[in-house]
Amino acid sequence: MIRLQNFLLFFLLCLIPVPLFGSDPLPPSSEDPGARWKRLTLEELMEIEVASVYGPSKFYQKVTEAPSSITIITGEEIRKFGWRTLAEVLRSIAGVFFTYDRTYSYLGVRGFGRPGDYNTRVLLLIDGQRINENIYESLLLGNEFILDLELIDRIEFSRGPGSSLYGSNAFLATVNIFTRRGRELKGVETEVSSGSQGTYKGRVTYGNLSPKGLETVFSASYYHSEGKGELYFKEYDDPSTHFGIASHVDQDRYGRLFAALSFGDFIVQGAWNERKKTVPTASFGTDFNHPGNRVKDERAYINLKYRRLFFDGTELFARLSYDRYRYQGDYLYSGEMNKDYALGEWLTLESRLSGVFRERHRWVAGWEFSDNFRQTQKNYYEESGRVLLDDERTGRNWGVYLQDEISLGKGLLFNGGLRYDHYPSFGGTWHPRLALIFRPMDRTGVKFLYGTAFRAPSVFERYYHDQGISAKPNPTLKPEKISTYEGVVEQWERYWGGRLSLYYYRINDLISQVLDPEDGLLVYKNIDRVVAKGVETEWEWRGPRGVTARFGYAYQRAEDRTTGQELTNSPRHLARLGVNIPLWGDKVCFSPEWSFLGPRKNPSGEKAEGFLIMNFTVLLQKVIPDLEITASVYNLGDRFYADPVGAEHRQECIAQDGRTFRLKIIYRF
Amino acid sequence: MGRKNFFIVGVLLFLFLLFSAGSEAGEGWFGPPRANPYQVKAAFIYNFLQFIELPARPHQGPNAPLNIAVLGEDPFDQAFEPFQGERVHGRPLKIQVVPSGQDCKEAHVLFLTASERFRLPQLVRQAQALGQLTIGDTEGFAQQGVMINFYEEQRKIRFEINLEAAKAGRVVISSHLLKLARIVKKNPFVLEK
Repeated sequence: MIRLQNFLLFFLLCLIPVPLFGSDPLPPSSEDPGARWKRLTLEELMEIEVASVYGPSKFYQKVTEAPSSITIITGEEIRKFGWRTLAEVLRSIAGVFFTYDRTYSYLGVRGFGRPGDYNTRVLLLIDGQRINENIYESLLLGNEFILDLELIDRIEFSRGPGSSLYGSNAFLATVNIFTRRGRELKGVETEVSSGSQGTYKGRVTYGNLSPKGLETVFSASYYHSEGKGELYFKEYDDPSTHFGIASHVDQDRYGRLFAALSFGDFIVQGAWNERKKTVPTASFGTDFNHPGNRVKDERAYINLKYRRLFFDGTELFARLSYDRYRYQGDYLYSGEMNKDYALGEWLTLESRLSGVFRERHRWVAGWEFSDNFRQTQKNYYEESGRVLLDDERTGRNWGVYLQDEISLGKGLLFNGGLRYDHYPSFGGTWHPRLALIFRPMDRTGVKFLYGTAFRAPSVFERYYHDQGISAKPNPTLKPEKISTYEGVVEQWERYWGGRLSLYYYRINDLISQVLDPEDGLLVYKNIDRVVAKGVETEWEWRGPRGVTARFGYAYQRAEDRTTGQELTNSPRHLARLGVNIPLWGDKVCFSPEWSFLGPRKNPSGEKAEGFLIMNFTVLLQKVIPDLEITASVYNLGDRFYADPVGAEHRQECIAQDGRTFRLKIIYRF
Repeated sequence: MGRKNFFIVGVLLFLFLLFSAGSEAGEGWFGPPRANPYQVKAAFIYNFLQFIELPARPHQGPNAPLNIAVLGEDPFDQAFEPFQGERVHGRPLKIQVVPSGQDCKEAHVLFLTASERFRLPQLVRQAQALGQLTIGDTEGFAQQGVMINFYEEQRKIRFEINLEAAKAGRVVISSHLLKLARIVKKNPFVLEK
């Protein structure tokens, strides 16, 4: 056996350098490659598959000249890594992690991941449509997200403040999602998938571009998961609470619809998602191990967009949208059903004009108006009819902005933006962003970035109360604010590239839930001040045969300035490596992925262990035409890890899934 | 096999797969390597010239060199090397890189890289007046008056033609090219932000 091992080792070592020496990629022939390139006809050229190179890629201009540091994730990567939720996709980005409390998923960005914060400090847009809702300002990222991942063409993740362009919520990062187009779908795509914990999903998508120019996409999907059969929580380990075992109370299901129609300069898009989750953690002091504890989130929008590009480069964009968010929480207290309810409805109208002025200026000017005509929150007991909260609000807010990108020659760019937002509750607020971008060397870029951003207090934070039992409102809340400084160095070659960022964030008037010592009630106040600083690096390599690798590492420290303490749920180290290795002419693709999250503090100040998990996905395609099979193993090493959770839980940390599997089959016709 | 050795073999196998699938070597398990997109685009441009008639310029004989200028940040690298000096309709090709902002009036064919988007309206106007053929590979360029614009579809290079722009520049494009191209009419809806 020993000999066999040594032989294997030797054999492999000999093989490694062999393929490193090669000739010109295409076409394989004994002939002089130059001569062959000259002989190829147009028809032959149109059949050649090209590598997706890193350097002069389609998005390279966007990435290198943007006034922030950007990571782009393509739909192809989403397919190859077998990610199941948007939260998993975003975790692959340097400096980003997420936690899951078995109800919702919470994103952490650059060391800032407050347990119990419903992603209010990250803005997400789908084809220009804002997804954060108007009650909690939250962003639903897990199964509660509005869009199937298979409908995503690409995701652009911009770190840092974006309030100078997008207003509220663009506090830590802005996520722009672009959906797939009908012309690329060209027919029907069906999906069935099955996984561990009794999980099934089905999806049908149709997309096309008619000869007359009507482009359509329709999609519907349904997901059901039984969840983990038994969950153990030591905090409830008592005969009266089933010895801490929550049994069969982890169900998760959703239905989604999506439609997009475009003709000429107009596009109509609509999306809907309803997700029901049984809450197994007895959050908010509810009865333990009861299937009646459930949350239901419904998010929908429909919009009409107009976009016209003129010959001189001027572009006009306008959007009118109707949005809706509905939440219903069923909570059992000693067998009595308490209903927590929220309904938000709002209309948004925006328009934007961009163009080029005197060849040096690329400007954007726009305005946005939102009419929050329904912001309702209710809380009542079903049987007794006792109403704890019945709050109806409305509000209108608007913003105007201007951005100018000035080319100063010799690769020097200046980008300046300013936006004014007005809210009825706290008045006006100005937010600038300044960026200086230059090229000291041909393939090296340097960026200096400064910006500020805000997040408006939500109606939940301002008005939620329960008749003085545990919480009281605070209508005078101010917006929380952030100032950021960042330096970025970028390097790009044909096959690889990456960047290194250094940043310093200062957050003031952070909205936090505190206990008022005078009356012992929970209330949201602008008290905390936080400083976060860190270094972050991300490298990407795209080999000529389609191998890609992305590596990210972040070191960060986030500190509460008032107490001098490090923030909870803020790991100092984050690292991630993902590799795609296509084999046999792209028929098979192996995609291992490693994510490391360093130790972090629990809400009580204790240390939560760091962990390294590995996922592995194999994609099989083109063996049978139009059939694609993806098999994934998540947490391959069955590593135990637990995420710190918010104060609504008696638990400090909630254990995450061990090894799980999923098989997904897609058929196109 | 011990756990440790198993691990080492695994790592080596992984490295082997990574390097061999990532290198530019010939056929094997991994199928043919994919081409550098700019090599393919260079070959396309060489082919286009056979099917395009440019307006005659004063004081230039039938055998004067045909100048191709790559304007802005050069993504081609060595990709044009095989075509340097090749003859098209009897005229030798001369390919040059012209840094952003420099004069390119001598060129017959202009390749406008993405970095030129600031000056695009001006460059397009100038090219039309001079009868230069304009080529680009940036989304939205054809709509803004660039005559031929490359795009990618399922890893293959495709091109779109703006006929109005070609006519305005007195550039005659043969029907063979038009058949293979996507014709850009007027301001089609582009989802790209």
